[in-house]
Amino acid sequence: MRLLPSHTFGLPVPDSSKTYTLHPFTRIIIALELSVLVLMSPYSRAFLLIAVFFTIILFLPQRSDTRLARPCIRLLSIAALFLFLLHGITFNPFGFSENVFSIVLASFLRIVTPVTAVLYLSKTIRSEEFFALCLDFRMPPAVIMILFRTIWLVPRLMERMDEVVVAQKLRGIPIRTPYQRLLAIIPTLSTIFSSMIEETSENALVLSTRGFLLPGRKSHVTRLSFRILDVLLITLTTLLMVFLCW
Amino acid sequence: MALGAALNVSVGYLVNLFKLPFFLDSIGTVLITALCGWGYGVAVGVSGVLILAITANPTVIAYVGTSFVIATVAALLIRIGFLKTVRMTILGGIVLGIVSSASSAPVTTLLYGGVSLAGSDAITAFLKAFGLPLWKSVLISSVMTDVFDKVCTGIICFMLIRSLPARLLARIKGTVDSSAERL
Repeated sequence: MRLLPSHTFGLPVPDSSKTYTLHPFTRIIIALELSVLVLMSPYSRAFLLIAVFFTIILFLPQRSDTRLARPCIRLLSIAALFLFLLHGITFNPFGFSENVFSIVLASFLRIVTPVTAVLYLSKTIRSEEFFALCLDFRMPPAVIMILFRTIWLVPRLMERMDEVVVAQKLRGIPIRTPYQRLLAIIPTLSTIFSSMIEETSENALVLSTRGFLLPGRKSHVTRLSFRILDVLLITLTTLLMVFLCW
Repeated sequence: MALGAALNVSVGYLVNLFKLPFFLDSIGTVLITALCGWGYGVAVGVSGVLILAITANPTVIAYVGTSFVIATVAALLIRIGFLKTVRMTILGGIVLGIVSSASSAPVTTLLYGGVSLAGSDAITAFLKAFGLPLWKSVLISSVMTDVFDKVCTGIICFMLIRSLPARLLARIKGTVDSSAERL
């Protein structure tokens, strides 16, 4: 049995344990309820709650391949800095504005709440689980395929762009000024776009051959089970939300 | 459509790599609107925002309406010659920039307190510090960056459409049998 770092401060939790295999729908509901709870609470309590949630989420074991923690922290730092600059500094007369704390806090809470929710979901839901959830919820197969093909294409496209950009740099193309960089970027896009169309066509052909365009329900191999623990957690978070928002 | 949405997300990466002073995050939307039509353009814009929200920046989800507006206005402009000549492309880019900033400024002002987490935030902070109201600062900075960005987007799409091989264009537009390729 594979052992994984625990949610409970260092104790090993088996891969198949009940806390580890929560249904993705439960996780989405928890994220939504916590977001509502933060946005409905008074500022001081909301800030405390989001700080606690964010810290817990940072220390949750990573289940998926998406690593968003560092970009999210950078994003929040930039948001905090610009909110302070926007609302705190005046040039005429030069100085700091007072009583901006509540405005900055309210705006920051509206930025940090979706970031925390997405960070939690990205750390705890694997892409195959999300795919299975979409199929189970009868989302149109075309929409699911577009979503997942896009996710698949983004790193491929970035890799292709990197290759072309490195090739351009090795050819000695000047990229000192923004105008030179713009001139360097445009010819690369055409090449990249054409080659990616070819790749997408081949991919679409494979999907069609494997019966994607045929009518009927699509299947998946990831088994998602909704257990008693899911019901209990959803009930608990709902009660907590209602109690704290009352 | 998937390629268009991926293009929206990845060109941002390329722009960042070259340290260019704009976003170019609607190239895929404008390009697919021009090649496949309004419906596909809207789908590309919306799915691009969704993907960006779950893979890089969750706050962009609030700008889903802006991508809808961009695809719709681009489709209308294409009917009157946008992406046909350089002059019309520049004019269309200016209109697209103004419309997109007008649709994104209320979200930035009311929801995020003036912060859009883009390069225009520095201009907004500068204007606000001089005593302009927040919504005016956001709108002016947004127009300044978006007009330039959308003109560049238009020119790049114009050049892309011109440089794509005729065979590929025919396949995308559906004049060659390729129903599955629109995935």
